[in-house]
Formats: sequence, C-alpha cells, structure tokens
Amino acid sequence: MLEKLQKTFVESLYSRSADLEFISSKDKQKRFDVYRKTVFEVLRKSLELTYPGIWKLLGEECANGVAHRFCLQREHLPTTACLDDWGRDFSSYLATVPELTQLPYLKDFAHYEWLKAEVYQLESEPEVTAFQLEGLSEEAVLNGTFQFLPSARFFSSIYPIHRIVDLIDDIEQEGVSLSEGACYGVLYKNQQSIHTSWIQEDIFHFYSNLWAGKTLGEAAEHCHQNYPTFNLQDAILLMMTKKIVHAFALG
Amino acid sequence: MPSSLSIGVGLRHPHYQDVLEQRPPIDWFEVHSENFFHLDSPALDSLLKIRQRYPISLHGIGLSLGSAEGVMHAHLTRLNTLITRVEPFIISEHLSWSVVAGRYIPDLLPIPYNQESFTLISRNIAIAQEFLKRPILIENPSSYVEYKDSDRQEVDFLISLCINTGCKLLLDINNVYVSSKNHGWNARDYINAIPSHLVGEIHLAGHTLKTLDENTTLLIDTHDDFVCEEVWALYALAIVRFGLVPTLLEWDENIPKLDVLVQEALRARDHIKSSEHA
Repeated sequence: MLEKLQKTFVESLYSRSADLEFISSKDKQKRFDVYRKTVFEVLRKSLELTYPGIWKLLGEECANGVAHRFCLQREHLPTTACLDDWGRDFSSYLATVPELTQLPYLKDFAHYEWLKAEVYQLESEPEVTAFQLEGLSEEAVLNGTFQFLPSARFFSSIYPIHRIVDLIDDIEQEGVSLSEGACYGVLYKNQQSIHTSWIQEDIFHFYSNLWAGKTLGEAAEHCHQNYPTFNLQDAILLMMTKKIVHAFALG
Repeated sequence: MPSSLSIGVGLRHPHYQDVLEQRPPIDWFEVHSENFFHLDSPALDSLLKIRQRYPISLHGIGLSLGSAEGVMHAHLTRLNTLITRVEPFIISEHLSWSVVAGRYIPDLLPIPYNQESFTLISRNIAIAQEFLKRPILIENPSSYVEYKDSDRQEVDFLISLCINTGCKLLLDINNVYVSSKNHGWNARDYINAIPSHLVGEIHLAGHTLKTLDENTTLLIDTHDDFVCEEVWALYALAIVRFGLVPTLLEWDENIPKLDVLVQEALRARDHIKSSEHA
C-alpha cells in the first residue's frame, strides 16, 4: 500500500487534476500545491545555479519557463539526492525547444556551463613540471604519454562560445557574430579554481589525441599531417604552463 | 545536564569565508550532507577548514528513510565516506521519503503514520545505523497534508521508532509549531508526550504564513525569517523538559549576514534564562 501511495503521490505532483483521494485534510488541492511548488522550485533553482549564463542569455522569465518545462518531464528527475550530479540533460533539451531554434548556439553554451559545474566537483592533482622531462632523450619523450588532470574536460563548438562568454561578463560589448566561427577549449581545476583555456584548433586536436592515449610522437605526427602550421613546442609549452597535465609516462 | 547550552548554526555557502575569517562565537555548525558528497569540491575543502575550528553535525535530506523501496546503498556509501572525512559529532536525517522508482523528488515528503510504514522505516533506520555503525537522529517533519491511511499520532509514531531502533529524536520546534497549526494539533501536548531522554538535538527556524482563502491559512516551513515568539515559547518549554540539548538555528532562504544569524541563534540562551526565572 505504501508503495502505491508514494507512486500516486508523485503522479499527483505532475497532474493538477489528480483527485488526491489519499489525503484527509481539507483544502487538499491547495495544501498539495505546496509540495508541487517546492519540488519544481528546488529543481529550477538547481538548474539556474548550474547554468547562470543561460539565465542571462534568455532572461529570467524565459529561462524559468524553459526550466519548468524540462522539469515537468518525469524522465528528467534526478537519480540521486546530490543535486550537483543533476542537470546534464538540460543542455541537449534546449535544442529541442521549438521557441529557441533561432538560438542554435544555446545547446553548446549550456554544455560549456555543464562542464564548468562538473569540473568544479572533480579532483585537483599536483602538476607536472618541465624539470621532470629534463635529461630524457628526444626519442624517449616522443614515445611517452601525458596524463591530463582528472578534472580536464575538452570542449568544442562550431559557434564562438568563448566570445559569448566574454559578452555575458562584459555588458559594454556590442555583440557577437556567429560567423566568427568555431572555438576550442580545455577546462580544468587547479588549486580549487576552475580555468578555461581557449586554444587553437590544431592544439585542441593534439591534446585530444594525447587524452585518447596516443604517444607524444603519434599525436604530433597526426597534427603535422592535418595542420601544416602546427608547432609542437608551443603546444607542449602551453600544456605545461597551464598545468593541465600531471604525469608523464615513458613508452 | 551540561552547565551551558551548546548553540549551533546551519552553515550555508554564503558564510563559509565569513566563518573562517570572523570565527563567530558559536559552538558548532550543521551542514546538509548531500552538499558535500563530491569529495574534491571546493565546498568540502572549506568545510574541512571550518571543521578544524568547530564541531560539525551532518544533517541529511536525501536518505529517504520512508521510501517503500528502501534506502539506497549508494547514498549510504557516499554518506559514510563523508562521515570519515568530517568526523561529525551528530548525524541526523528526516522522517520523510523522497525516492520512488530510483528517482529523487527534492522535498521532504510526508509518510502515513500506520503499522506498514512503521515496520518499513524501522527496518530502514536499522539498515542505516548498521551501515554507519552509529545511532542517528531522526527529525520530526513539517507537513501540509494528512493521510487517510494514518491511524496514529505523529509524536507516538516517532517515540515508538526511537524505542524500536535506538535512534534519537532531532526535535524541530518550528516543525512542531507549523504542523500543529496546519493540522489542528496541540504543540505543547506534542512536546510533553516525548520522554526526555529521547531528544538529542533541537532545531529552530522561521516560517511563512500563506493564505489559502478567506478563512484558511497554512504555515510553510520556509526557513527564511527570524524565529517567531510562539516557537521561542515552545523552545522554553522544551528546554525545561529535555534539558540543555544542543540547539541549532536554521536559515536557508533570504539568508542574512552571519552576525545577524549568530545573534538570533544566541537568543536561545536568553530564553533559557527566562525559563529559569519563571
């Protein structure tokens, strides 16, 4: 009976016409509304915390409305009581909202915000230093593999999301043209702070290959073939100075 | 009975840095366990720094002891890991449910007070206490509806749970007041019914009055205001009855500056003096 009651309770949260037969109190619809309001407001607030840029881009009223519609789909309910785990699907949901089709970059922007929230919760690690590579032969270095920080996450979009990020932070800017094209970034956490490095396309693919387990030599060769101007030294230097790798293993 | 009252404050994100810098004259802090389940988060980093200076109580909102499908092992595992890191002096949860079919409903939903739910919750509390290897405290809920399936009083249900499982009661005085007003109970009778040895912690908080229609109002447990005088009066009664139980002020919405929060919490001492003179 309790199992049935709890299922009926949850179904009633989603249906304002539910008869609420299981409640003995007077004014049961108005009283039950307190639960409806609380549940959806907690979820909406959680999304707003995770996606503050989406709220700025859409405006509060529109963002709240979209969030409410997202939350009304039962398959979007959290699977844990830790709401920091929840909300990943909101970015792809944005792409399905008919009224938002004129804003095709929203999904990617939201995905960027989700990655920031995810990185916030992940482990920081001590960084590798250039000193640890000293004394190794060139062959040994090229056969080695780098390990990125556990918090490192790669991001790419066909839209200039990095410019939209700047625009949100600086209201003085006039606007962003989507024709500015693609952007590439790596997000990571160091010393409990979240960083985003916006990088060139060739470096992005170099790092992605390293991330996938290719040796330094293999990743470099791949990039040289596809990006004639790729500079290996610059790519390694950037990786070291940004401290996004934490270990180097000899092949 | 301790010679002085131990007063705590619910620690929320806006105050982490203030607590570290100002070291307010408060005895302990309480946090919501689920906010620290990610063990590498900056939030836990701040909490562990505060833990070096203050005792911490872990107050859960998501174990869902009243769920028909039982407590989630994964949740207990994360809680246990957090306990190892924080070493809290109290661990508490709610008499409520929030999980159905593996999905989490983010609210403390009410349970019917009958034999079926008593058996289920007794079992779930026993599982939790065995897993965590310590007794926990269970908080009385605030509620807005009552069930047709209930066949006993909430306070009797709670007392029996404590006796049956060895858990203790986290008596939220504001919840007693809110539910009493909402359902027409007598708050003083509720408090007087509880055996004094069962109460391990007291909560205080503010609430909001909501008008349903011309003749009906409802109190909502919003934790967004000062403690009202009626709740302070019930607190004075509780302290006379239960002794100097560790007392916590919760404030979760429209959170004021830390010094306002601390001053409101310290009012608990004034009410003890008043009750001693009465």
